[in-house]
Amino acid sequence: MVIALLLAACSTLSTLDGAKTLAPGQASVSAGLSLQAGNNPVAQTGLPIPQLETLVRVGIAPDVDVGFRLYLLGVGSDIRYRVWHADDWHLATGLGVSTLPLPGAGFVEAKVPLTLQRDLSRRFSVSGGPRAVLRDQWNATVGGTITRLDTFLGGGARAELVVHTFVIGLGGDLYARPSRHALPAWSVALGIGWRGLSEADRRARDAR
Amino acid sequence: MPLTLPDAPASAGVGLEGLAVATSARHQVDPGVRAWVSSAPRPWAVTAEAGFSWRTDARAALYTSRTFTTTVAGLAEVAAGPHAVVARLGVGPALVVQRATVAGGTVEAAGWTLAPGARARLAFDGPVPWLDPAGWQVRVGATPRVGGTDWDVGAGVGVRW
Repeated sequence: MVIALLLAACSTLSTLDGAKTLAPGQASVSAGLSLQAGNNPVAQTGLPIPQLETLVRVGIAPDVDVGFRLYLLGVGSDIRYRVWHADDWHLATGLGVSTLPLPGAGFVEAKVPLTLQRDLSRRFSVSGGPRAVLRDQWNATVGGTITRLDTFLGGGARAELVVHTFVIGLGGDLYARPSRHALPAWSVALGIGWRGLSEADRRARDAR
Repeated sequence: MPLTLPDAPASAGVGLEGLAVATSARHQVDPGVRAWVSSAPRPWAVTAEAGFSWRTDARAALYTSRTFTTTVAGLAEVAAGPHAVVARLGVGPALVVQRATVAGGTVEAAGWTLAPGARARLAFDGPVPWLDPAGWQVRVGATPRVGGTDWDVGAGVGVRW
C-alpha cells in the first residue's frame, strides 16, 4: 500500500513557475508541496495524494532558463523561453520532460505550458495560462505490460510573493483528460524557495 | 515591445517525429517524418505542414498489418521571440489520410480512410550556429480528427531566409 501510494505520488501537474525567466547566471532553488488528484490509476479514488517536488532553475541566456526537478521517485527537466515582455507583463512558453523510470509502473511525459505573468508590484505577481501534457504510461501486470497514452489539457495559475531573495508561491492546476473520458485532474501547490540576485538586481541594490 | 523581431526569417525544413494516437487502451508510438514551410512572422504568419508516419504490426502469427498515415495541415500562427529563436503557436485545418493493409495466408485486404480535423502546434524555430542559413525546429502538436487525436513530438532541420 505504501509503495502504491509512493508510485501514485509521482505526479507532475503542479505549477511552481511564472513566466519571468532568470537572468543569465541567476539561479533559484525551491520546493513545492502539493495535493494532486486524478492523475494516475491509484489517484482515481478521488483521494488527493501529496507530492513533494524540488526545483532548481538556472538562467542560461537572455530570456531563457532551464529547470531540473526531483519528484518522489521521479525526475524532470524543462526549458523556458520568455517570448515577450513589456513593462510588468511577461509571456513565456517552453517544453518539459519528466519520467518515473521504474520497470513495474512508470511514465515519460512531455509538458507544454504557455504562461502570462503580471507583476502587480515589485514583490507580488500573478501568472497563469494553458498547459498540455502528453504522458506515455506503462503498468506491468500478470498478462504482460499494459501501455497507455494519457493526455491532460487544462491550465494553471500561481500567485507569488518575493521578499528579498525568498519566494513563496501558491498555485493551482486543473486538467481535463480527453483521452480517458475521466474526471478532471487537479493540483494545489504551496512552494517556497530562494532566488539569487541577478546582476541588474545587484546594481540596483548597490545604487540604493 | 513587439512580439517578434522585424527581421525574423521564414523557414522550411524536414524532421523526424514520434506520432501517437491517444486512447485508453494499448497504444503505439510510430516513427514519422514531417516537412514544413513557414512565412516570416510579422508577428502573424502561416505554415504549411505535411507529415507521414508508418506502423507495421507483425506480431500476430498469421498476418501482418501496416498502417500509413499522411497528414497535411495549414496553420495560422502568431509568433513571438525577442531573440533569434522564435516560438510559433499555430492552429488550422488538417486532413489525415490513412492507408491500412492486412496480409497473410489467404487474407489480403486494404483500405483508405479520410479524416478531416484540425491541428494545433507549438514550434520553436532557431538558427544553427555558424551554419547560416541553416535552421532547426522543435515542435509539439495535436491533430484532433474524425476517429481520434494524433499527438506528435518532433525535431528537424532546414533553412531560414
